[in-house]
Amino acid sequence: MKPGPRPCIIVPLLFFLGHTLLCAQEPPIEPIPEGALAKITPEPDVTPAGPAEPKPPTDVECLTRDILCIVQFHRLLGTKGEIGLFNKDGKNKINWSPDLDPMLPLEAGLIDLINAINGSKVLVSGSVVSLKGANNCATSSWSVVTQTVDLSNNLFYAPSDLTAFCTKDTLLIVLPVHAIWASVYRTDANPSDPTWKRIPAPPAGHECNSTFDISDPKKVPSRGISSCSLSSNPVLRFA
Amino acid sequence: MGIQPADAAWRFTGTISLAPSASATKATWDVQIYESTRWGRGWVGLQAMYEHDRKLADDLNSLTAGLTYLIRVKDKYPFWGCWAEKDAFVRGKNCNPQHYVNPPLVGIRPLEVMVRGGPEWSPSAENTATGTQGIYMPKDLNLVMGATARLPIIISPWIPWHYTSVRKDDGKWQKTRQAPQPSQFTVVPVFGLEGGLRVDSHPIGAPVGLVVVSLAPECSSPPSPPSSTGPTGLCPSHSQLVPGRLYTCTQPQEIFRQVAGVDASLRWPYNITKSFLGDRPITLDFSYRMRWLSYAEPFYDDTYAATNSKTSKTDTLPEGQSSGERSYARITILFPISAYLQLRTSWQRGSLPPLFQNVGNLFKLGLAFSNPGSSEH
Repeated sequence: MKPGPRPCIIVPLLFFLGHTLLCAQEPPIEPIPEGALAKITPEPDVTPAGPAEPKPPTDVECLTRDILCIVQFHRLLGTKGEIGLFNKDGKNKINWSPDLDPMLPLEAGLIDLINAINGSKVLVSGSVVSLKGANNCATSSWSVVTQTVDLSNNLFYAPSDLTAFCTKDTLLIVLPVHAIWASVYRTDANPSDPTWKRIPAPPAGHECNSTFDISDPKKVPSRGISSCSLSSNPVLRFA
Repeated sequence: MGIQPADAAWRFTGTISLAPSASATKATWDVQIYESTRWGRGWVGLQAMYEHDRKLADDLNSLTAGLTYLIRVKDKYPFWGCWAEKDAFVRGKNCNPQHYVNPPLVGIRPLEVMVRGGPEWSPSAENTATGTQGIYMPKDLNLVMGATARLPIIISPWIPWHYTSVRKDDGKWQKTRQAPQPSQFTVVPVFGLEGGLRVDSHPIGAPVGLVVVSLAPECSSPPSPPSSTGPTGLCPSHSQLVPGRLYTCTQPQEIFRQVAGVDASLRWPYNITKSFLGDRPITLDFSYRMRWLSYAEPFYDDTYAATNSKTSKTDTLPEGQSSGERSYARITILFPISAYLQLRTSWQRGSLPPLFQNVGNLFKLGLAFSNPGSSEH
């Protein structure tokens, strides 16, 4: 019989390897290059003692500032759902913020993002990949390769797998996963395909309140991303 | 919050297999589940597979499961380094400066290190010796841990029909490269170690008790007489088997394997039938593993001849054990029919732990069900 290492050596070796990988010192955070990935703005850790303090608004300037921006969302948090960004410390914590309150000033990019989330089929949470300067946005086919916190594999979403919207110069892709990074690729669409359609613009804002007068152009929907059936759906309510 | 959008993490695969040389059509199915989520600096996951066959003799009825933890070294960027289209080798943050314009010509993803641990519940193969049909090998239970390192290399070559002419603002036409499939060719070298213990194991040769009368071709070297082996002792290696001797051998308690291999994938989108079959690519997968066993482990191969101690007739010796090398290769072609259904054809050769049952040249044709959002290597 060929001699070999014994398990009493192997098992501690594997534990040592796991401990080394798990407990290794965090590497210094390098500055993220302009446009290479979503800009992540750290927030101070808020650990309120006593009554809850209002959360600071999440900086979603990357929606208008950066070429590629990834924003996380959760439709069941808060009263209207919340959006957030990954914390910069690399520990996968998402800083949620109730930026969707209509009293806060909303930039045009954020309104499109809210409407895109509402127009998607994502039930609970996910992320929106915003790509500025997307040439021929509505007449292109878009695909995404992404790394997510929900699965260790890299995922490839073909054009037919994606929910995408085009604004004037921005592509918004709504993913059902929390993306850490994403690479977006473009090809010309095939308009000879009888099932082909232009990529639509985000839908108009919706209002869950049944008494809301949709015929009044002066009234603005509440701009939430929460599901209107949340109160009547026991599965969503207890999720 | 309980519900997470991890639908892409669940993968159900059902296969209907056709074996042309068999007397009866086989129908096997298996279910594979892999669920993982980010934890700490990596991803913790649960992997499970169950295999079943409607024919009792082919029913592996095996369940393997394991907890995994995967870490990518420096995974802040999609690529650790790359050779872009017009540039020399650059590091990760410079690999995608223009985003969606082009994938790099050659990109190296971050190194993946996976630690895995879990039970191996070995399948129950039928004893094919004369007079023993219907007698199944007892199942074994092993606990195995392993560590594997993988380095995915993504290649997106320049293919002429991936260029398209675009009219610029000045009215001139210019050819630009497109990426209908961002990663067309992937090569992933794999290295690893596996070690563990046998919790429950059956004696090799039981319950039949076989006498070796001839040896497999690779074991045809003159055997040396075993010194301390006997009817109930540890089995000698194949090169030490002695014709005419009865063997019923216990298995070593230790398990240690060194693993090396390569995974490769070629993806090709539908060019002509895209309107009918969608934009998911045809995928040709190749996988090869070589395992070097430090301790003897069972094998199941009906090419070994022996004499049945009960019938005194020359018969096959389907089971034995040895150390040495065990290889396994698989080629799979996937034809996506829709986002949820794929036509799957595969060819396999070699053997895999825990039973190391030699599959010969196994050809399978089946259907696979999966989720949208295919996994990229």
